[in-house]
Amino acid sequence: MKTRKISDFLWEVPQGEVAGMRVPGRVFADETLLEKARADRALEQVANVATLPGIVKASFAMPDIHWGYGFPVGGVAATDVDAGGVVSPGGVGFDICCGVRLLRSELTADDVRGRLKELVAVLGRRIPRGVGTKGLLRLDREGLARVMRDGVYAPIADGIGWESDAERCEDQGRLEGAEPAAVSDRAYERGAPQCGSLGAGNHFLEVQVVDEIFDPPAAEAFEIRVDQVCVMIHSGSRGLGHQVCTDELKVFDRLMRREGISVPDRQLACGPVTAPEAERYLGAMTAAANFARANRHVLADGVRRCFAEVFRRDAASLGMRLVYDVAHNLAKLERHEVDGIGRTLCVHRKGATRAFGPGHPELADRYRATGQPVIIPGSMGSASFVLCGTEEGRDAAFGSTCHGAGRAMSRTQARKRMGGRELAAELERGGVLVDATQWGLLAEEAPYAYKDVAAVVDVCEGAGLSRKVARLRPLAVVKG
Amino acid sequence: VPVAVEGEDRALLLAALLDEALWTFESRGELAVGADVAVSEGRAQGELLVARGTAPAGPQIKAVTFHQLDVTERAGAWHATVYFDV
Repeated sequence: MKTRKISDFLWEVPQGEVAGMRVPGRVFADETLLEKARADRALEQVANVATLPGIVKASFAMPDIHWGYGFPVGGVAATDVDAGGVVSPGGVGFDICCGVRLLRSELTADDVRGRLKELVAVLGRRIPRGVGTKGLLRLDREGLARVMRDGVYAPIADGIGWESDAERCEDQGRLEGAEPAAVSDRAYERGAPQCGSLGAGNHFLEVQVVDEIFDPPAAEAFEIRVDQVCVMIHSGSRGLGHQVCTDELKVFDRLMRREGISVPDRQLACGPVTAPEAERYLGAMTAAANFARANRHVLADGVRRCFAEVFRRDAASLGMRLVYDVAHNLAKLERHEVDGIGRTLCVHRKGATRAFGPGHPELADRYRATGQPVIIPGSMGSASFVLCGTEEGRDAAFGSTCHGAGRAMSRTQARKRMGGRELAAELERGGVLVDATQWGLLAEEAPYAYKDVAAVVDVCEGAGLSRKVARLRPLAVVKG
Repeated sequence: VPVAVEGEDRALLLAALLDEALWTFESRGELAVGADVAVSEGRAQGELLVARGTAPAGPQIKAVTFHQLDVTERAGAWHATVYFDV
């Protein structure tokens, strides 16, 4: 795949590299990250996405890009709704609204050092995790529909979590336009028992400590400071989101044929945003997204209870406020300027995070001056970051930035290198406690299986997509 | 377990059958170990052969993707490509 250097942090895949490209591909990367993307054929996927009807500007890739199903993970594609632009369920992915939330506290590293083992044991016991687990909240059909409609407001109304949590979420904790009636019975059945569960795979909960501040005013606005203990939660919409995507792939495969659209990979199945099937998908996707936000909200409530139990103080006096909650698998209708004209775009972010800058009208008042917080988990045992949206990022890639370190090694390769228990022992020697449910699979998430998250966020900053605010290092990992 | 799925071509039929197997495991705890189906006119109908038990070791399959999904007949043998989300 041919690439042309545009700047130190931006590369172009010229139109024509894949037949039918409507726009070029644009990859934010340094030379090392670009070569990694080329090696796992993710660049070819960037070019494939550029064939989608109605796509504007470019098929973008964030620096943590890697190979995915059809769409690359780390891809951003926006289509013009009024010019035949399409939405693609595969461009959102199976884990709809998978994302990350960060809780801060008034505890310091010294405060938790002697209690860490106990804390990990309590978290491991109380927070449901692993394959097919039942969540902290058991919902009937009506209860689940309410969660899908109201997002975090549903558990808040039942006394779970804090009212102040809502405005500290992207979309203020609830996406408009959810259609619980568009969600299949199977998705209901899979979702109902799972609200408030981590799941498996790369999902986790981490106790971290802030070890460096890069932007003191933004850190102050986000209420984070050096030596402060935080908790990061990475989870998504569980079986419900997977079922919605599975159901819709079939619908869009047919819709695409009816509309005479052809794409290089069936997982890119798509249809005009204005088609009834697409409206239905967006309603179901939004419902699943609200479920995912409520899931992380309920998990955070569980984490607060665990801290209260171990430190014998209530979560409010421990200062366990939410820093922010971001999604990194979503499609949204947003207003952006293209060639100087305001347009409604369907922005797909798959393994990419919205990063709106200062003054953006969609942000809650408390983030208007700084831009929104962006939470970037590193690989297990390595650093994580808090970033901040920028004004220039809006023109760069529709106000988007990276979502994590990005896989550099396949799961199988990673497992071959080291066993799970051996890896946990090594991490513990480095000062990170690990608790897992499936030790055999732990090595799939080893730090060496991922790219260097510091290099990824540096490219984002260099390219103006986002700014660094703080770095956190892990003290303990509770794996899904 | 009786099974009936629809799909415009063989690849879609295979994906739909695998979806049914995944669903049968998730909802009833029955592991599909084979299938006996008749295929005609965009429809596959028959039975999933199941065994009660736990999932085999290894990563859990979460979904059947359409990525590079393909079923073709070459030199008298059927070749299928299916990627699973894990």
